[in-house]
Amino acid sequence: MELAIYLFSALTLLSALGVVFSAKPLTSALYLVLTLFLVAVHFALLDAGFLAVTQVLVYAGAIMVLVVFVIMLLGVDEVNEGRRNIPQFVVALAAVSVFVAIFAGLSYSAPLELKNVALPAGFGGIEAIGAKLFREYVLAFELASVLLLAAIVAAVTLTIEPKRALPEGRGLKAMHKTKNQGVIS
Amino acid sequence: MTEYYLGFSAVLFALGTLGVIVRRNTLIVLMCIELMLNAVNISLVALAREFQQVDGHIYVFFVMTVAAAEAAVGLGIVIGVFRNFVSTEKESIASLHG
Repeated sequence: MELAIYLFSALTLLSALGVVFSAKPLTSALYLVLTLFLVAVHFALLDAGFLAVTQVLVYAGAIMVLVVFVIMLLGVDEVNEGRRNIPQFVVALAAVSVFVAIFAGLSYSAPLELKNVALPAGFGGIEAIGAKLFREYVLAFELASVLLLAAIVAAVTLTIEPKRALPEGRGLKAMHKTKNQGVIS
Repeated sequence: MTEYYLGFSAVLFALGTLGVIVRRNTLIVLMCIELMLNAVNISLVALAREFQQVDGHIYVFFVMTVAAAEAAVGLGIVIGVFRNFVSTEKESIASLHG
C-alpha cells in the first residue's frame, strides 16, 4: 500500500515536471492530462472514490479537452521561448524551495496521527457526499450554478464575433470562398 | 501518512508556482495554475481522511467547479488577446508598459 503511494507520487512529480518544463504547449497539456489521472489515483488511494471519478470526468475529460481545442484552433503549438532568464529562474526556484521547506516542516511537526479508528462505511462515496452537499452546503451549491452561468456568459461575450455576410453559392463553391477566413478572423 | 501527503502537495504547488513565474507562454501559465489547484485538492482530501469528515471532499468539489469556470474564462481571454496581438507570449502584451 505504501509502495503504491510512493510509486504514484514519483510518477505524479515527474509528469508535473513535464507540465512545467515542456517546450510546446500541447506537450504540456498532454503531461497535464497524465498528471490529472495520477491525482485521481491518489484520490482513490485516499478513500475518495466519488472525487476520483469526478476528477477524471470534469478535469481530464472536459477542462483539458477545452484547453487542447484552444491550442489547436489558435495554432500556437510552437516553440518560441527565445532567450532564457536564468537569474529569474534561480530566484523563483529559491523562493518556492523556501515555501516547500516551511510547509513540509510545519506539516511534519504538527500532531497529526492517523487515528486507528476505521473509516465510516461509505466514506467518500456518493451517498456520504450527497448527504452533506444538499444539507449543509446547499447554498454554496446553488451559488456554484450561478457562477457557472456567469462563466458561460463571460466566455461567449469575450469570444463572440459579428456575423459575416455569407458568400453566394452553395456547397463546395461557398466553402472555397470562405476557406481563408478561418476560425479566428 | 497525512504529513507525507501535505508535503507532496506543497511540492506540486511549488512546481506550479515556478511554472507561472518562469514560463512566458500564456497557455502554459494557465496549465500551471491548474496544477496548483490540483495540489490543493490533494491536500484537502488527505486532511478529510485524517479527520474523517467528507467536508473536505465537498470543498474539493467546489474547487473543481471554480477551476472549470476559471479555465473557460481564461481561455476566452487568451483567444481575445491572440486576436489583437497575434501572440501568446505574456511579454508581448506590453501596451501599458512604462
